[in-house]
Amino acid sequence: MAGVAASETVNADEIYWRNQLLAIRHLRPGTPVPQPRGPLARQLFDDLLHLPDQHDPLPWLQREREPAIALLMLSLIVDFAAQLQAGAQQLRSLPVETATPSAHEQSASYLASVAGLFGQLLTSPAPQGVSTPWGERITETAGADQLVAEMSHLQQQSKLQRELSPNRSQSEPGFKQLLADLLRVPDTVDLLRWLQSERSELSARYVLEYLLRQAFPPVNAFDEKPYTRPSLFPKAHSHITGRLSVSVDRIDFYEQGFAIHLHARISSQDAWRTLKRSTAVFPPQWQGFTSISDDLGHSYLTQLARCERSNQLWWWREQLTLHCYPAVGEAHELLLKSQPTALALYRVPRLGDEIISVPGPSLGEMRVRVPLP
Amino acid sequence: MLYKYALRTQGIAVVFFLLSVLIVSVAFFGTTRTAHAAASSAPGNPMVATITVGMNIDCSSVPNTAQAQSILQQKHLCQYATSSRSGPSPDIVRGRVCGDCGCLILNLFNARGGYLQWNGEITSTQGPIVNASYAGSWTNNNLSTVGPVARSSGLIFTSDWLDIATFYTRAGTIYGRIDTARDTLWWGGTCTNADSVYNYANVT
Repeated sequence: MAGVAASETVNADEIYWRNQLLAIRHLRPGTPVPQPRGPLARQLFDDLLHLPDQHDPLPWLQREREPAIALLMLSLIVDFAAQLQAGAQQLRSLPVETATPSAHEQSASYLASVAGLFGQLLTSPAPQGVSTPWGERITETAGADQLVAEMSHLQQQSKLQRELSPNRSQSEPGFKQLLADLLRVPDTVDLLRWLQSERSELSARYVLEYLLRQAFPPVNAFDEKPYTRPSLFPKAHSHITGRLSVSVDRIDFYEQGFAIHLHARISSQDAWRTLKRSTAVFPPQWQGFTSISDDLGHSYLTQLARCERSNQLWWWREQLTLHCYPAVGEAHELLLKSQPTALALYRVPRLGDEIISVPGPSLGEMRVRVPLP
Repeated sequence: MLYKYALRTQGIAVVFFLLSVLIVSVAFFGTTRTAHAAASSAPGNPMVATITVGMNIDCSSVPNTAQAQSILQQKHLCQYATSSRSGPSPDIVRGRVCGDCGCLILNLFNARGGYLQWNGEITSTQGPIVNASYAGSWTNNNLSTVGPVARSSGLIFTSDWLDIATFYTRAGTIYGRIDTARDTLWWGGTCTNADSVYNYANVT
């Protein structure tokens, strides 16, 4: 894949997911990898694992697996709608004896605020009973018609006026906005084709993340597990252009993997402003090394388990814990890389509880070698 | 080259200067705090401010004994609290509670793939915090599953501590709450939360 030069703007989340896919392909042979739930999800995951490293998975998914990602995306959206309906039903049925007047007010205000997005969808009855989510039962050859029929039923429940070019999820690319758009697609338009032609990039991003997330061991997999060897205190440092300085403080080793504890310092005006009491909800973040490998050529999955951020004068101080999978085995050295080192920026859509990743500054490459005893 | 060297030397000098200011301040205020503590009993001259903004039981440190559980149950505390026993609390959102020390904030976000991003934040209006901690829980309302959350900072020196964690909750409407929070100010004062905070996110 093409390298990214310092000073360009990049999406840190996309870099992270691309690197995790590369890591899954190069795990130590025999390492168990949890499989995504559902036949279509497993098929797509398998396709991605067999894709050559030089192919960027996002354009490839859009180009080569467009119908499949549209189908999986629609499944996830229909599941999301059912979940929202169930949540709204619970809110409406808050027991009078325990709910305070403000609870009813808040509940009414929430339903009113989402009515602009979903019409009468959330005041309609939720599906009865528990069924396997669409995302876990859809296949490439069966179920598409029923899924589209389910989405059409949601459209009818919403009683929304249809629009020729619904565009809420273009400016605010979140799940809620995508559902809001799908509710407004005219009857004459094929919903799956609309997803393919109008939201292919967004669908590819969501689907890639959905598939890879399931390949990770749970983030709390290491909690309270015994150490398998003494912790290491590498005291390794690295920095880039005076903007980011990183120290690897400690590595703990477990049966299933290892945890890297780091601290970082990011120079930013936000920190000083926050110190003076203006709020910075999502200042630039560094989320740790995105690529971890060893001297034997094996890679490790990495996920951010914890990040504490605090402002100190004109910089942000971060304390991070990365969980890496699997255990180091026979390796003698770890190589921690950020290639490129991207600062992550997020925003929250006006009506949403979802973090939207937006491009942030790329600072160049960073590598740290950690010899293992 | 010389210019670079000069810049570096200057940089090091500035760092040393700031470091010494910090050490001197901490040492100075540390000493005076002891002196003030002694002087605080003098009538009309309360040198130590005591900031009290309510107390809650710390559910994370309750002993795991039958007696303790029975008392919690009788008194409807922690996991037996009426408000959290069956899904959402009576109020659905109170993401921020502020007192005379600062604010306790809870924001929850959909991190997708069944993951919840939990942002717990403690801010201070009384000068830097040196350490902070809080305890609470999340509940998946669709699956009726719960998870405890107990977090603490190391030694910090900040007016704004944001703790970001990712929890695997599976998809659903997730309610999170912080019942107890506590921080220690640089001069030794302690702040506790005036009330609990709660919020929700629709995790996909």
